[in-house]
Amino acid sequence: MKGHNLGEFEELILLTVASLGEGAYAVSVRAEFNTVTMRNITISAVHSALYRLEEKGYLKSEFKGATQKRGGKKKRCFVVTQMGINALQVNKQIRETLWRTIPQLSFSAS
Amino acid sequence: MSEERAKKTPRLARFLLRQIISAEIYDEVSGDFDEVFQDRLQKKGRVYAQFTYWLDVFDALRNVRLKRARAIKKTISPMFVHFFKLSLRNLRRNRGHAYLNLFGLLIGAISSVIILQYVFLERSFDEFHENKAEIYRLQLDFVAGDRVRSYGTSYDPLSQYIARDFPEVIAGGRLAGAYSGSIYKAVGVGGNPAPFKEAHAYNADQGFWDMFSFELINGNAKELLKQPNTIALSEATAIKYFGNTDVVGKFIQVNADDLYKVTGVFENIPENSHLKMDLILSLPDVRIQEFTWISWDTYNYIQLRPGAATEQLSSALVTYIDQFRKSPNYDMQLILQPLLTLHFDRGTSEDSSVKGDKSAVDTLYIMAIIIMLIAWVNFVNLYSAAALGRGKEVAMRKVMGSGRSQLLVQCLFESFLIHLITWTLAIGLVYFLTPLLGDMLGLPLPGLVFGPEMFTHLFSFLFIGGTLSGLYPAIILGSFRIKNVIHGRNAISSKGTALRKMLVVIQYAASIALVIITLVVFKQIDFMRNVDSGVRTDQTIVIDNPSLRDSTIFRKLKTMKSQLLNTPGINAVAYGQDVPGSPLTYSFGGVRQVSETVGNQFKVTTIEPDYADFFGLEFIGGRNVSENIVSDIGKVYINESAMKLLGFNTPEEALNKELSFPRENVWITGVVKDFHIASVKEEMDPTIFQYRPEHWPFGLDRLCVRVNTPNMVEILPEIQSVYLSNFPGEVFDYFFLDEHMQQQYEADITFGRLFGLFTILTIFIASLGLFGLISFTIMRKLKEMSIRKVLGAQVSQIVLLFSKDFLILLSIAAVLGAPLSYYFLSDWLNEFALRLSWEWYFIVLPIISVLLLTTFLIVGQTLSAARKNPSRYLRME
Repeated sequence: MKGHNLGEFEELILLTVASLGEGAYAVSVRAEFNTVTMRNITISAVHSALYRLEEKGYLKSEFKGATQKRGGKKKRCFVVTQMGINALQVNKQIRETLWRTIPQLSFSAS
Repeated sequence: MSEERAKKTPRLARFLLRQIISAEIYDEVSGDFDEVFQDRLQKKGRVYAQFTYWLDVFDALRNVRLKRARAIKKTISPMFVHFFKLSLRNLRRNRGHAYLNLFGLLIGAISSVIILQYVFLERSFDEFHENKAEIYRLQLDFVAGDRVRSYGTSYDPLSQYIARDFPEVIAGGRLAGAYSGSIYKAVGVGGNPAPFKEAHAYNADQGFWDMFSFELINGNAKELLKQPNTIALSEATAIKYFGNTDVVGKFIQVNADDLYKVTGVFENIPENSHLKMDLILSLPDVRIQEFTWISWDTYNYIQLRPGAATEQLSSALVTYIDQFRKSPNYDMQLILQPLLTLHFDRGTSEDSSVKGDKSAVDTLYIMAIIIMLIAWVNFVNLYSAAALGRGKEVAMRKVMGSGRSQLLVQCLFESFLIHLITWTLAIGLVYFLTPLLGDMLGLPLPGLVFGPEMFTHLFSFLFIGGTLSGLYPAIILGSFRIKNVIHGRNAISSKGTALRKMLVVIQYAASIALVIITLVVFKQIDFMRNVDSGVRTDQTIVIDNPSLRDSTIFRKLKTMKSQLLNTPGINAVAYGQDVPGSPLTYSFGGVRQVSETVGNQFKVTTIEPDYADFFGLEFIGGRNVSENIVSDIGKVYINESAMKLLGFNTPEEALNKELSFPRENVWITGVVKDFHIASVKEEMDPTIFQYRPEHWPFGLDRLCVRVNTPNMVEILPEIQSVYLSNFPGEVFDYFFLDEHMQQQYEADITFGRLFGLFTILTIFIASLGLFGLISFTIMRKLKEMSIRKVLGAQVSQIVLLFSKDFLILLSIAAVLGAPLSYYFLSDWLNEFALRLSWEWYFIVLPIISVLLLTTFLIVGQTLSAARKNPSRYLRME
């Protein structure tokens, strides 16, 4: 159950939500993601990932206040669950293990 | 806060978004879209914002199916796991108690399941027929004065003609028992195939086969019985005759003359069918205009259109038939018997099946429920007694903050768990035990029958019983005051004790009632077996006479008789058509004195002069027919009931009177006392015994031999050789008359055995309950006992003091139980013509024995408690 089937994109979104801490919702997640990864993903892609991650139990969400900017509609903020964190850590460990086995690669600061 | 009025997002695009995104999340998603739009509006202007908005909306198409998770995928809620661990721990700690409890419950469960299987089997008779709701059998009722005689068989052509002429009747079928003396032989099989007689051979027509849902393995169902001289075999029969089931087109020879072509092989008839056939021969059609209306030996089945009413049909049928009947001189009624009632209906006399006893089956069902109730009561008792010992644990948990409801749930869960284990074990054990028990009890117990009924019952037992019986202990535990427990003052409310005492009383009342019932049932059976049935049936071997029919038969029979009489070991030989122990084969209607106009129907059987002496019939007037008087041939003697029915007041009046029979007139030579020819359970029908030596086929079908050697089997080979030397090629079929007579009691013996088993179980479980109650009380009163001892009381005095309470309880139980059993027994006994008379010890003996048994239990426990060292308990302060 842990760390399974977490796609690359989902993993990145999950990490983004985690790094945002408070106030992680579709718009902010998108902004942060685009900044960090230098991609330009659409809002719907974010929606898709967020809801799916919630269904899998890696995220939970609740409504936060509505603003005029949003035309009076509430916004749904996401938070990573313990399960989600476990999943991320598993993936991290897998990668680190693989990296460690690569013989002569040095981490060049780039 | 900026007061800028946000420019609105393009309306059409918004509308589209509305359609795309599911309503559940539309709000938040569209809010996100709006926000992004606003940002872009600020940074890059309106055109850009609107354009990208449109792009985003189309992009949203990928999310058309997106919804919020309905529920977070649950792993097993940690709470259940906790309960589970807790329950297991508890069970492990109180192992002794738990095992005892489980055992009591298990016994109850197993017996309940076994009984229910039998009950459901009996109740499922004939349920497998597709048309079961519309099939009826025609029951023929003859009304003679205030007496009604009902028959399951009726006149042969009825169903065909009724089906033809009544629109509500869409089909008709006939079934008739084939001649029991027929000999069947396979044709075209190598070697010399053995001839067989068949007890379950029938004649039937195509309509019969079409109406019912018996499964055909080989052959064409539509043409099975259409042609004359065709025969269908059951799987087992086909194998018996031919070794395999691929026999369509082969032939079976019936008696010496007829060849029947096999048109089909059908699946062996299941256990729960009121009709069980091994062979079915096709039945030729009968023209109603030519029908003689003398005998009514055919089972007529009709199928009604769904929803048709049956009452008017009954009377309409009689009117219809009257046009064909010539000079009917007795009242007749036709009643439509629904198919599903046939298995239990004992009101009619016929021999197509062994009838089920509905009241016995219903009683058994109630018993199964009661067993479970008692087992649950027991469980509650023992469980709550054990629960008291867990006071500390409960108190601790309460301190930690468990709510009362949590405790309740945990108790329920634990109880449910125990029940689950019990039922799983029970089902497994039943699977193994059923064959063993079936042999032991002599019952036809079905294998594991798991129909929908069984499932629903099992589930209800598990859930209802499991949870309800956890309720009471949960309440007890919940009511513990923490303070009291910690201080060691487990003063349990006396309310609980009262309930428990009441439960034990109920259990014991039931036990006592059951012991009484079982005792009486067995005594009644014993009585019936030994009662003087008015006829000599001991030391008798009955042999089927040969089916050969020609002019030489009578001479050969005479030869055989004298040969047998000359055989050492044989005392008497007689021929007859019927022997005691089975219903008589034939009845005639319209029999009356020649001087009368209205007749009645009587049982008629053919005999020869030695018959009366052989069976010890007692003449109360007139004389037996005699071999030496030639004019005696054709004459009759009658029994008392027949005498009265014919209108004679005394035997003397009946002598030498002339009677009108269907085809002839006969004269009466004598009157015999009524005896129980069919079974001791029934009154004897008015019967006429006719001396008709050459009258075939209504003739002397049986050869009765009285043997004076204690081991009757020894003589058999000699008899067989005499038989076969006179009638080579015939089948030598015999039975012992006293064994045959026993069959009548089979149902009652089964009933008695089941009851006995049930009784033992109830007593056992009740004792468990009492045991629990006693140990609980003793636990409570240990301190008191110790104090008394210290103050100088003798062990015996203490025992007496404490036992007194329980003995009072038992007496109450006795007072309750005895009338209950009486009530039930009067009902049951009424069914028998010959009844036991009540003796005082029927009631007293069981009560005393149960009391003795339990007194041992009580005294035993109180004794061991009273002997304990008082210092141990006085230190608990």
